[in-house]
Amino acid sequence: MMSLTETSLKRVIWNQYVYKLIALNGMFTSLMATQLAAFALSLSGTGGTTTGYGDITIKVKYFSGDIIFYFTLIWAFMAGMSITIKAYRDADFIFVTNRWTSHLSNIALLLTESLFAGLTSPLLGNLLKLVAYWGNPGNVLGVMAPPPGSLLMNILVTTGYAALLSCLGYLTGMLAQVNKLLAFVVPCVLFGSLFLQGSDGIVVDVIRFYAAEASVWIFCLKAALTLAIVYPVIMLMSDSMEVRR
Amino acid sequence: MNVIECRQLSKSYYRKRALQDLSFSIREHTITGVIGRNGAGKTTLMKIIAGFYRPSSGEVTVFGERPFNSLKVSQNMIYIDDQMPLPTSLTLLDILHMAGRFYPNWDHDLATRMLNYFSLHPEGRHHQLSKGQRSTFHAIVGLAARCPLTIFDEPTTGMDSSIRKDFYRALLKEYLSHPRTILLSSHLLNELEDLLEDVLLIHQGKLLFHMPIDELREYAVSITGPEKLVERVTADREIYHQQHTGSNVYTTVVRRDASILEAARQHGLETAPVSPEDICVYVTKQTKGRIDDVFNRNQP
Repeated sequence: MMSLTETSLKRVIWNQYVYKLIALNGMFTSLMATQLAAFALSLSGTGGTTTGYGDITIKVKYFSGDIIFYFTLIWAFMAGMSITIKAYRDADFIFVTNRWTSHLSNIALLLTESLFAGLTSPLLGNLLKLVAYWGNPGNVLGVMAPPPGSLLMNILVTTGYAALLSCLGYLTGMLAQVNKLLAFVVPCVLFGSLFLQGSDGIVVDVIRFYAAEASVWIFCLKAALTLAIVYPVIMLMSDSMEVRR
Repeated sequence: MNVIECRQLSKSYYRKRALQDLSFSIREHTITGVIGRNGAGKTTLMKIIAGFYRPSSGEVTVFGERPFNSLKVSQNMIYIDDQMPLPTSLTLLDILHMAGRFYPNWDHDLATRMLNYFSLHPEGRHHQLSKGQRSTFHAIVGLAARCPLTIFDEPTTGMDSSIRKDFYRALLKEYLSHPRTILLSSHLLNELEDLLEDVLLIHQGKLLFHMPIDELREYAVSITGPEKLVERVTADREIYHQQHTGSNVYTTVVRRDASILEAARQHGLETAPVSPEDICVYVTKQTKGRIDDVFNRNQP
């Protein structure tokens, strides 16, 4: 006699989360590859000027983690989008799940990846400055000493942006899954607004809402609230989606 | 107790009706063969039962709950087919371990012994398996999960006949030692005959019948003899199949009952049982004419 077993939502989410962390470990590899590529690109300087006065030429080069940061964000967007593809969604439903546990474990995975990206990106940025310093002996006038606590702030902000971008990627991917037409319409509307309305457009306003925030803590709050609104909307939107078709 | 109940279940995709008004119930601890031609709606039906698809109308309950989005149904059910996108980053053994985390009745020892028996390398990867090996691996997962409801959708795709026989035997042994409700879809009914208790025959999205296989064995009779005589005996009966089996020898398949057997005996006609496989083929015949006609263009 085989009796029915009961399970809890928490347990299923945890199992799915562990399953995805292990099965989708390629995400972490791709993050590292992205960051290393960005690191290599940054080695020759992320900006600079050359000025000449007669025989004297002054070359100014800046080294910053900006490229690493932006590459990390692009990766975060792609990571969010990639787990919405059919093969990954179907893979959840090989084992125990329903649509909610599938989403919640995806969200947990994306947040974990964002934290990982948020930790590695500023650290790699700092490493870049050290390499630039050591790699140009005698030529470096100075390394801007980071103010105390700035690394922590950097980690918070990068994690926040990575979480936002992966959420945006997840939203985009899910919209495309719900309706193929949306996969075409949404980018058109976004880029259309960006080009036609310019800096007055809603897209720029949205970016400004986060990017112009001076306080790290308020930015984190804004990011957390955004996630707390967008993810449940995605879950409701795709609640009746069929799987393993 | 009924594990599955369907009432007027219908499903359509856009304009195409895949299932139409299916009503039936499946008792606990039975092996039911879901039989039908290609495209009859077997997979659609089973995926609705599994909670993957939503019915368009009607109702389906599994363990007393609607399966769509039910965690209880998902926890107590496993759906095995040849389209399982298992992670390529895990070894076969890792996948078995992972399945064990999800299914409380999982028998890991059984799973690894079967992996060994079927010569699947524990360190192998899912995407490197051949079609038949993949089906074998999925079947192992399905059996070892020991889910109260186990659904196999064409589980033997690509398996050679020796592995198919082993699989059927393993399935039967597992079922006897750990009874559970099993749905098994296939179009090879003759291979499954000894395994199945009930047969659910679907044709063009409709339920043709749901009956014990023993009853199906007694369902029809074939009557053979001179054409005129056979035609007279079987007049005003529904004819499932008829063909010339020799010069002036005619075979007709009709519903079996006492009166037809008696009439055949009186006229000295030969009677023979019809296998469940043949009955299913006859009642679901949807081709026009015969395959020979395709190659014979002179015929209208």
